[in-house]
Amino acid sequence: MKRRSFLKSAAGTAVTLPLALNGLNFTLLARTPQVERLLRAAAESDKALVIIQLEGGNDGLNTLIPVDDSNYYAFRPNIGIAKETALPLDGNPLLRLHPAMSGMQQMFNDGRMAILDNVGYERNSFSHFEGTENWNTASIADFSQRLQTGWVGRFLAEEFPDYPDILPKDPPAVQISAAVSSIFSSSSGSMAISLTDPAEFYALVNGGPAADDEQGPDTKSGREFNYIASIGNQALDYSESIRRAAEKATNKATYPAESALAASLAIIARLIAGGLQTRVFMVKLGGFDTHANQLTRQAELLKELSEAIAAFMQDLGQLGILERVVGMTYSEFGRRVRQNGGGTDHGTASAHFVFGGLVAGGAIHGGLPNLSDLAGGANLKHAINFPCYYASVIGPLFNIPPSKLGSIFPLGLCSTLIPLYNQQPTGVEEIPDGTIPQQMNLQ
Amino acid sequence: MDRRSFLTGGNHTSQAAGSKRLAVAPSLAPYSGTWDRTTAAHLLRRTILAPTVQELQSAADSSMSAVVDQLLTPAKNLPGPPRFVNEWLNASILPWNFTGINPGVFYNELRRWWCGLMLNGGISLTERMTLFWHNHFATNEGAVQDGRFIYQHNQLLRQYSLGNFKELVRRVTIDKAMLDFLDGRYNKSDYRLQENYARELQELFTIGIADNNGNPNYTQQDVVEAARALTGWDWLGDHNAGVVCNALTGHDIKNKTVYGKTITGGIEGAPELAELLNIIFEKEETARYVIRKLYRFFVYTEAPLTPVTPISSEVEENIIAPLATQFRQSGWEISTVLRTLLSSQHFYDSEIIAAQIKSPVDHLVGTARALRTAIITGEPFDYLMQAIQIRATKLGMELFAAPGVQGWQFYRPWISTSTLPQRRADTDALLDGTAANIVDMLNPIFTGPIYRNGQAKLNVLAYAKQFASFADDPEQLAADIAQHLLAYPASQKTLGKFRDALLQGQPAYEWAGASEQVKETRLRALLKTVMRTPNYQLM
Repeated sequence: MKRRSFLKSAAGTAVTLPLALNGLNFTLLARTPQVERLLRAAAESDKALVIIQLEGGNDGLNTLIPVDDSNYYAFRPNIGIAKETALPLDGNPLLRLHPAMSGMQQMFNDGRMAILDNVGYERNSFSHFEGTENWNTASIADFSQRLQTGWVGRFLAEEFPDYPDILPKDPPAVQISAAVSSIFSSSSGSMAISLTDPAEFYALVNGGPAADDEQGPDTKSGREFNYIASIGNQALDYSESIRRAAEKATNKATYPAESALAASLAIIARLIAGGLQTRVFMVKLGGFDTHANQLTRQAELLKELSEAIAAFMQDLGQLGILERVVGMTYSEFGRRVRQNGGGTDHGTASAHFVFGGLVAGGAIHGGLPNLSDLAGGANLKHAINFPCYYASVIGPLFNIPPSKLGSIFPLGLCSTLIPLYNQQPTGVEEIPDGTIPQQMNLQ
Repeated sequence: MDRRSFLTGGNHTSQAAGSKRLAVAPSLAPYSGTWDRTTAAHLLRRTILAPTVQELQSAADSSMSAVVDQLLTPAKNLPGPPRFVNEWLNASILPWNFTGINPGVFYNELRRWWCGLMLNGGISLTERMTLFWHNHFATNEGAVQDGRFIYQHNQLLRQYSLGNFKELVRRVTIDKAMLDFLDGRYNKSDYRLQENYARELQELFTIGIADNNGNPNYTQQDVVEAARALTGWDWLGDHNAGVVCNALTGHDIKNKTVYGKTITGGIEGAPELAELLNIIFEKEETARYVIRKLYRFFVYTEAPLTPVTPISSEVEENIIAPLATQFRQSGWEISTVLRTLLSSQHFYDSEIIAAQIKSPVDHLVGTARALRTAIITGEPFDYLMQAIQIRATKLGMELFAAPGVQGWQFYRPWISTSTLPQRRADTDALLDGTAANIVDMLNPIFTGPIYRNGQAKLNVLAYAKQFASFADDPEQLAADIAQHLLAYPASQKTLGKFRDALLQGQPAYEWAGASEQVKETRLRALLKTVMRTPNYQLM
């Protein structure tokens, strides 16, 4: 296919670039779009980000527990988790992990996972729907300033400015799901494709019709027709590279059975190990809206999360790609500090996890939750602005220059990125003053 | 104006030109243009998924107002629930949590039953609106402990599907499935206050989080106060009992203030629920919010980059606002506003036709419905419905199990690189015949589960024989079938592909003499080709 071969050859000619550029100041080189494009193509990178969305609003306080804070137990007489049962974290006596998360405790203590606590934003929404859109679009302002594109979509649109007219040889993003999240939406449509099983995806696509070159008119129905035709063509373009990558590698670790999350992560590990140069993968784990029966329900979910991620990390290690993959969690909100009986209502800030071989693990950022200074007497105040969390993950991982981070997160992030990686990669130091509308102090 | 000629001509340039001619300001005034197959098909596709050949013909021969009247008449004599549901509902010998009941089997049976109502239902909006309300008041069987609650909830939605919206909201609020799903039964006075239902009642069921310009419609304090007014509703552990609400069951007896208005606290919860709804339903935004949702379901939605894109100001002013006024003035009668909307000039604007993407249920049940020549019953019904409900689930639309409180994300998210190839494989399978396995639990106490399997297959020959062109004009037959099945007309080039699929390189004159077996094979090839087009995903 023509579109693909163009990019392939562009990438081919630029093979030596990353070495030559290593260590040079990115912002200087990034002046001309051409150089930048080459850089992007060259950087076509071996790094992949895996985003895990915890749907429903995960309760951070019972995930990362302030075990020495008597306020915590006073607010949660029924659902507070006892210090003795919570899992200790090396070097952090005041915070412990939920008892069901032994896999992730191990990762933390082994230095492969960092935790960010009290991640949130000022104008929090208690709505699942609006909260999810805020987190997907990185909108921290009120409705009138809400961004209409997803933050990953904006990042990938910078990386692949001609998408979808010129398709890179592998999809920029893959969601293991029947549908794609609005986190991937950009001004030129979604930057992600979705699939649930690589082999089935290939079989279905190739049992179907050939590419459709018919174009509808610029009318309401014509635009929908063109949308459907373009999705069909994308599936055709990518089914082969997905199949090839999936067949090239075999999972080495044993994943927990009966977990859709684990099965999805196994597919992702295979695709990355098989050479698929997709930047961002995404999976969801639902059910965190624990208004009632929280002790049972959250324990099941966190167990699934922890075991699936632990198996994934083990697999990445055995496949030799641990240094290429970074994972992160997010959720539309945390939960109310005070229990409502057997559960918790919608709240604000929460705890999130970053993991992978490159991650400076064993660290907790964002400090302790302050239960004696609550917003409106009921909710946690945030310490880390969530777009700052996002930027701190993708900036160094994909060598994104500060000016670009500013345009990916136009509503503001933070003055200094959180040091999540063992080595701060080239080109990303401080974000210059004045480029960030909203300053915010960390920790 | 001869709408039919340009819409069926398959020339997109002329369609675009035609739509420019028609592109007047959206209006709720009664449509007074030509009533023909195109307009009749549009109305039926948006209301009963996909008309059969006969239904389309008689609608086109009738008038818009007569068809709309028929659509607004509640369906009668619907098939009752599966035998197992009946036994479970009626027999007190079966406890609600009887361990012999496999919930998956139970819900699969319910799904087959509901898909069947959509398939065999006549010209009535009952099932379409039941689906609309199911999405509006989304629940999930996985988070409701008693399967009978899910069935009863579905019947409540059906009973009020074309009835009074305010009364429907009142009943849903104290419906057991909803009290369980959104934790209303845990919502008690003081320290056990549960905000869950009070928030969704406002955000998703009535007023919406913000108006079309993004101004918030309520505050967090309104959520808390509404939750207090709703404390205490419970069935007190007895699944066969009705719900009650008073101070003894946890109702908060103090005064509450919602939107600045006071609800006088008392021992009983029912008057406070009524008062709370009065306050919410006094707001103009409540009518507008629900009308916008009806509009997006039946008419059109701008393709949003994210799901929060507001409706265009042109539609907001000319359609939403006046229809919302009518909704309030009618005392919240759903059929009143549907009549206006489905009879409006705007609804029949050529730009609106074929501008919606089918949901998985529209796609699958619609396929079976369009091709059927008679009511489907018995074993063929069971296997067909099983194949359909399983495939709808795989495409992301598991009935009785919406993915979240906000229901399904309709429109473009239905079509992805994952689902589009799957949709094409699904129609292939229904045409070629596909295995379906069913587990019955007729009476789990005495007989245990019974396994049976069979084939789900659509009868393409009976379908095609409805067209006069079937006898000896295969080229016309391909065009007739395309016209029946596609809201978005096929281009000349695509029509050529259809003819090729039917003729398979044979001269057209040989069609009449071909055996029925050959004809059936060729028809399957034609229908697969038609159903694999992007056109077929639109309605």
